[in-house]
Amino acid sequence: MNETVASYTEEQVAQIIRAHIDQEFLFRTKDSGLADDDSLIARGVIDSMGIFRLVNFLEQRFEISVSPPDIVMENFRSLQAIRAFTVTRLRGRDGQETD
Amino acid sequence: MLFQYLEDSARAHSARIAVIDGERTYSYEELEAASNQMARTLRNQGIGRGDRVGLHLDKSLEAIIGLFGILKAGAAYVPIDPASPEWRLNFIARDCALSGVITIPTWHASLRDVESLRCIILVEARPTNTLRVPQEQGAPVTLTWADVRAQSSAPVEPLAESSPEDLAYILYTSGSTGQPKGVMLSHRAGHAFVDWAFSVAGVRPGDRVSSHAPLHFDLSVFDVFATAKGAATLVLVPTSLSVFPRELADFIAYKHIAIWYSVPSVLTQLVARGELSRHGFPNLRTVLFAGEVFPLKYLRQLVLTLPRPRYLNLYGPTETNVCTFHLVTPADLARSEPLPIGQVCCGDEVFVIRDDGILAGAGEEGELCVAGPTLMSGYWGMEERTRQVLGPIPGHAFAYRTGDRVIRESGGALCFLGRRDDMVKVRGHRIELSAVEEVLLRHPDVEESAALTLPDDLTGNELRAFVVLRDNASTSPQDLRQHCANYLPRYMVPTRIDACEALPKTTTGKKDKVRLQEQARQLV
Repeated sequence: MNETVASYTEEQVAQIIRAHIDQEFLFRTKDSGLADDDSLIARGVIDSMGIFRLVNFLEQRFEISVSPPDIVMENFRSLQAIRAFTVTRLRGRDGQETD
Repeated sequence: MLFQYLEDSARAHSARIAVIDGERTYSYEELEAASNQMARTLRNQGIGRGDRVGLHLDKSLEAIIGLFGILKAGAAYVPIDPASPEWRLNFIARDCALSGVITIPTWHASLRDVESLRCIILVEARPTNTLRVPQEQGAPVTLTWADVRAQSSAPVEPLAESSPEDLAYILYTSGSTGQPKGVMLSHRAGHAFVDWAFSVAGVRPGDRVSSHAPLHFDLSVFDVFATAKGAATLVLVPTSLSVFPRELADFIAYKHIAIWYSVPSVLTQLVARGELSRHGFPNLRTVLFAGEVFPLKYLRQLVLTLPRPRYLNLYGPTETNVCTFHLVTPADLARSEPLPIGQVCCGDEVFVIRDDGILAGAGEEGELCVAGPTLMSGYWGMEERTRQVLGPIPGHAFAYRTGDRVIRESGGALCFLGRRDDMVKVRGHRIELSAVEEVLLRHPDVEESAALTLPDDLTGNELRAFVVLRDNASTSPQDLRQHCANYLPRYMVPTRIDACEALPKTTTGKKDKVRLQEQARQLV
């Protein structure tokens, strides 16, 4: 595992997030798994409390900070959106560290 | 009858907007016409008085049309959460012997074997697709939304012998055995609540009223019917917004909501994470909340941030609609005890009965019992269970025993103290812990089970469970959560299930809830 490694590949980020969501939120129905661009919100996978559990997870796992204005549909709509948001934050963090 | 609210407003204010669903709006005239088409569709299938029709849709314009159409046909609507597992959907459909159901194509296959169904109406289905399969003998007729809308929009023939005692809707709630139970509510009960709530909330024509609660949740009864009575506008709040408090705050502001009604936990999230001070909310006049205790810390913050609206705490189990209420005063915010549930309303009477069966005096605690017009008609198909809670009490010949422990304060206001049984609330949803335990025990690897809640002011109760597994069991906690999700609605699935060697017991051999909570708290 690479908990202390500062940078992740996008693929690793995607894997970690998907594994977490599978574990925490997704009870697979008989018909389907979850596609990258499926709406986590519309499908009820993440509810009002789940979003904050997820935010806590992202903050701790990736050592990024997520503030209230970040907690919007655009960033949490789908696996893809969460990955993109997390990657942006990781890059921002690395940028700050090297400044 | 409850649909008359719509008919009256359609006559007096035909052009006013009745419903806003995203970009779509419907006037009272349009809602009246569409619900007549729905009523006619159902009547044509022989569905009417004494029947039940499932409303298995996300909240939408179509769901509102369906709801009024079912009532106009003379039947009772049975709202079913579309996120429910298939087992639960099938259980409810069979339990109350639905004659018809309005749903989406995904569920067609799993419903068509329900013997009582005469028709399945599919929203979102294209008229040309494969649904036009040859009708099998005895199978329910499948209709599309286009079929419904092709009907005449003239009012359907009024029922010759309708009565306010006819059932208007059945709401399924958690039952102690893991099987949901259907609370039957009549038009009479709905009216008594809506007429009172309409005036106390001060609904005026043109007001924008929120529709936050899903239709299977009894808060929606206010939203749908008090809005229709007032010729106001029902604004459907997208489910997704409840996940994002900041966007929910924007929605309330930009949609000019005048009257808001939700469970307290939604308001707690709004105040804690919605950055409410970004908006003035000039239209917001009344904020109603019900379903659970509002943590005073957050209510205080809410009232300080938004001092203008009136805040009303409504109380009542599904079995009584609403039976008491309390208008929040500045003095309440300085209290250290929880907010009172207040004074009796809706024409009901309340009684506090001590454990020894005697009417409680001032300052004595007891079980809250309710009599009056808002009471349910009983639990569907459960006469024995109904008799246990509906019947004579000291002081009244026919009352409902709520199971809630209360005390009357010196000023006369009632205060909620807790439950007599193991029912808990999780963000307004009632859950009987034994139901969760029962479902866990159905798993072949589970020997013993215990469900509990961990309270938290900000996030509400968290549902957790412990299990003792049989020797050599290989089940993972994740498997067990999946198992729960196969039978229970999502809010009843524990956020975490931990296996342990043995459940802590009290000296009398009961599960030790205090120690279970301590154990759960250590597992984060």
